[in-house]
Amino acid sequence: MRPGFPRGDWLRRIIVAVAVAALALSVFAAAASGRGKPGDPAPIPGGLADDLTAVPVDPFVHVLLPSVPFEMATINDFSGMIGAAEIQGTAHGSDGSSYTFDVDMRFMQGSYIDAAGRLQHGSFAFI
Amino acid sequence: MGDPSTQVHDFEPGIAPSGLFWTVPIEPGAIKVDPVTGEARLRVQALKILDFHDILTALGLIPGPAPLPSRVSFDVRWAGDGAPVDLHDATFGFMGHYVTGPATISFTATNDAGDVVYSSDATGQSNPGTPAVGTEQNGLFFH
Repeated sequence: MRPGFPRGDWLRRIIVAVAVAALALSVFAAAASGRGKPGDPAPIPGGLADDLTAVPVDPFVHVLLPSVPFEMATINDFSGMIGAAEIQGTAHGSDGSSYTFDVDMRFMQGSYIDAAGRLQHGSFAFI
Repeated sequence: MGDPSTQVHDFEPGIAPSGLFWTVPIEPGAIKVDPVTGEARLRVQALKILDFHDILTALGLIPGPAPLPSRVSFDVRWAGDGAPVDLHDATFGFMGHYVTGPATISFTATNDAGDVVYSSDATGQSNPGTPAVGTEQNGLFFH
């Protein structure tokens, strides 16, 4: 009689291997979630500190003013066309209400390195 | 920037878990740009967005109402034809060539659950800073 495979052991090994792979995948996914998924652009490293001063790293928010001479892109590892403006004015509601507005509007269109480290091309609006 | 204490609407897409700030992908055709003259146009229709009520609530600095699902349409125009500006900033790691010029906007905004349409007025708009259009490189593309 030919010795058979210890099927119980193999099954347990396969289950353990799958479980380890799933755990590794979930750990990787958790680590990567803060950086975004493939295709997602990364934020610029600089921005505004909580006292609204411009800082090159570790900001409170990853954005600077929509005006030269500041960095107007919000996407890091970016090369392309950009437009930015702060615009103030008045607005009205269809119910007869009136308001003032202050908007920061930008666009970015070009190449960038995504969260997975791949070169991408995309178009983005900043609202 | 306006006084946040009197703000009643704050339409923006929010901050991504990565920290990417108020930036969303759009169709390539939404952007028309001439980096030589500095003229550009950004047109988006019925973009799904949130109304955070005010920027302090949006940034999590104060407790506020839950954001309201909303839609905005906008048409931003950069006139260009201003002074050219070249920047090379090693501290912030970016460089670019820009053409300055005034910018204006036409927008409508609505809360999905509301019936009021908020519309910008065409006259009397101004730019507190120096709007610009151009080309920019940062991060790995900065040298």
